[in-house]
Amino acid sequence: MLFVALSLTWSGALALEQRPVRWRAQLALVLLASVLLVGISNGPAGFAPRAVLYSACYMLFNLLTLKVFASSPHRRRLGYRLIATLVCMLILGQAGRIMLAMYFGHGELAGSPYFALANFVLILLEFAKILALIFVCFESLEIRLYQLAMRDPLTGLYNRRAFQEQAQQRLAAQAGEPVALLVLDLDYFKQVNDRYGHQAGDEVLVHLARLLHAQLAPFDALYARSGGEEFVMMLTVNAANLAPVIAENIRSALAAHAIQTSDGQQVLQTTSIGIAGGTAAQDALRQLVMQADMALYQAKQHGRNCVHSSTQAL
Amino acid sequence: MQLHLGTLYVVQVTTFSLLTLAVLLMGLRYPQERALRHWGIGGVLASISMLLIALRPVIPACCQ
Repeated sequence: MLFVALSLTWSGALALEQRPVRWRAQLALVLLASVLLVGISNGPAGFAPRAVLYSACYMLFNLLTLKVFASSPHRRRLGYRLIATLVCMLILGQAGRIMLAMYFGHGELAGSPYFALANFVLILLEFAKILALIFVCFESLEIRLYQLAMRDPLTGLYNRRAFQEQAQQRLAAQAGEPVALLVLDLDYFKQVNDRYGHQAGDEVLVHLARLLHAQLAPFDALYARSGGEEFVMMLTVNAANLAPVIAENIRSALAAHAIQTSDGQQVLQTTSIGIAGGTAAQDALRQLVMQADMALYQAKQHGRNCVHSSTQAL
Repeated sequence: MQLHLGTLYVVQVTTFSLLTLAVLLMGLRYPQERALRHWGIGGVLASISMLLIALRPVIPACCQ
């Protein structure tokens, strides 16, 4: 029963990582340990070999658990580090227990105060491990909820709320530096949905998100899908001066090729972009958005598929 | 007052059992958290095992 319990630590770690649980390997290890235990119990040996077997199994399953946490992409999170540290301490503790069992040999181990102390410390570490496991679960849950609240599920970009939050922070942190805000709106996007279907419309949005990612990757840009077919980007410091060039690159890259949808249709999509420039300040976001919206309106008025800048300084 | 090792062990195992039971209940309350169920069941099994190990001297030989 204890071996099954130990193996569940490993499968729990796999489940947390959304990886398939390896029931067969788990069962095989449990059966092997049980067979060894029966063999030891029926032999002439006493308490010490049993303690060694328990500790060895304990170390094995904790090593497997440690491997899962150490290979996780989230291994830098506080909870994962905490767990890894505790599991390492438990492995070392069990190694110490094995050494005690080998030192004392038959008979004397059960009454040894050192052995009792080792058990006491190991159970305390187990308490800490369980609390850390709960912490890891809730940490993962919190991060998942945060991502759900801050990300657009279709494109994976930040949503309006996340953009506003991050943009305010950037404007405050880089006060006095040049800043540019770009508002991008797809031209006649409703017609794309009506003509090719909503699935194709979604694919166009995903295509644009990838394009933005590729075009903005060299710059420290903040960008998001602010709603429907509208996207917003913020460029700061040196990149702010390049805003018209970057916007033109995005516009021309989108217009240059038809987008191939999964059902084989070709969608030609253009975009209009409005740019507002100014100086970063704590309360500048609202005014920047207003100016960029006005510039976008003018771009639409000038026949769409173009970039228009608002020259008014903040 | 001298603290008996056996008493300490019982206190530890009881606390451990309650803690793992709480983990199991959380795992059942939040079905998407499969890991909590694994660790909860594992903890409860470990508690029972520790209890049986502690009771080994008083369990008749035929039942062991």
